Amino acid sequence: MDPIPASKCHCGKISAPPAPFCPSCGKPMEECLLPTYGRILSYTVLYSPPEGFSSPLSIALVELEGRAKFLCHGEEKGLKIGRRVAIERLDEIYYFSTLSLRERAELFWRRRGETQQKLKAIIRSLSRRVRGSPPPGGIRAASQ
Amino acid sequence: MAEVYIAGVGMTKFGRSERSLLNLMAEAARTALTHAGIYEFDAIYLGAMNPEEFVGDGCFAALFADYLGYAYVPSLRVETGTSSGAAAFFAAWTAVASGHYRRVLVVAGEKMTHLSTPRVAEILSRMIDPYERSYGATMPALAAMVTRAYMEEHGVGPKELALVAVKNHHNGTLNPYAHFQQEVSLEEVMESRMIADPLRLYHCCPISDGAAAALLTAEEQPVKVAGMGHGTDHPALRHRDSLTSFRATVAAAQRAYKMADKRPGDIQVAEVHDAFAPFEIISTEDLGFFPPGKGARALVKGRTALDGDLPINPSGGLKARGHPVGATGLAQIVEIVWQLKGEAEKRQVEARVGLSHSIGGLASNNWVTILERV
Ligand SMILES: [Zn+2]
Repeated sequence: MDPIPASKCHCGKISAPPAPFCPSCGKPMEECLLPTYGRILSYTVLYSPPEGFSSPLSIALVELEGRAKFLCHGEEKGLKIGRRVAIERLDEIYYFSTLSLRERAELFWRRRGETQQKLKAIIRSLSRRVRGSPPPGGIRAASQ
Repeated sequence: MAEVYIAGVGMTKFGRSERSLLNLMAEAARTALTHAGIYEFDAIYLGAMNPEEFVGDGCFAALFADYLGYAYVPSLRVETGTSSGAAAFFAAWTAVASGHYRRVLVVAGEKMTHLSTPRVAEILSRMIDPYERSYGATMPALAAMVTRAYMEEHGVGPKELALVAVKNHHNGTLNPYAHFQQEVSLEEVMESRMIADPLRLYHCCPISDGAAAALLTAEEQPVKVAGMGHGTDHPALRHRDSLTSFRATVAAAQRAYKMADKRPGDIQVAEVHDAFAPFEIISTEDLGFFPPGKGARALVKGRTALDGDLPINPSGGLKARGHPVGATGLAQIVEIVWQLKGEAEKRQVEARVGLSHSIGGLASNNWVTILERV
């Protein structure tokens, strides 16, 4: 999943989508990217959505990692305050989905201060070891 | 700054009307002038949210002054979305307080019921942050997200929310100016159609037509403007620090209390912006009447009922009096003047100090006005 384009300010405020000026302090903002994980802060299911949207329309306010908040669409069944979700983009519209097991595992490793790459390398090296032919770099990557 | 007094007030019945917006506003203005016994004034300050789209008229203050027969009196329009009526009152108050004018007629109104509900919703949604709007966010949708977060944070259930509508509909039965003058039961509210979960139809104020007016003067009168405050916030929900309290209300209230040299405990009656039922509960906390999370409890115990220790929305509020958007902020002030002067008839409460609270947009442009019997 592509990271979410955003902007950040020296005061700590992050805006997604990016804004030219900080909504908090008015200074110019710098572009940045945000991870595609977050948790639901609040939500609604709209039964009389505006023209161009189908009913019922689920909208959630999601807090991304880094504390930026973000409005997106999603499925009605995954709606619960505090629930961790993954954000995906489809045709320029952001959707949330309840995290899969693999995504939770990736998130766990990242939050432990590890890199996503490291986890992928472990999985890669393990699978190769099971196959009995550890390629050069596989084990090394896992122990870095 | 000089003291500013309210010499007279007036309003039309709120509801569905076949009459033009100009005609409704003229009725409210004429009533206020008659109430004051004053027919000469220095300026007209007009509040209307969007006459361009609702009725197709522009440069509306000049059209109105001409219609009223005062084309040579300077007129201007003030707009802060759904709180435009309070904004016009504020602008007029500063003009008189500064000594620039001696008497100003404030008039506010909106005509909405001739349009379809989706069209009205579309016009109202212009107040929403464009990015959030592009996700289908409407006013009820954003209000629903605020409500959901409030319920979760403070353990408030759907029954408490419904009680706001039950209370305000009851008050509306006592107000001949109200759009709705009949009771609703708790069951009717809780079983009404879901609009934006958890908000149901009876949690939402109606679409209405109507107008209100007040004559402000530097000459001493029984009711004065004790203090007024304006507070703002990001229109975008995603930029806000809190979902369960409106910063714009808190800021406006702090300024108004300071200017009036009053505390929340000094307020004896209040008109509060209940466009969505839970907003009344949240606002009574933001105004300092009750601690955060305790507004619903005060409501359930009857403290905000007509016979409670702090009656909230004796008029029926936006829920029952109706919400012709631009008119509402001024109609609330009119109700407080009637209450302070003992002219509120069947819904009269005992009060010397009253407050009105008006929300613009989704609480991005709010006003708090404190009035006092001299
Ligand atoms: Zn900043």
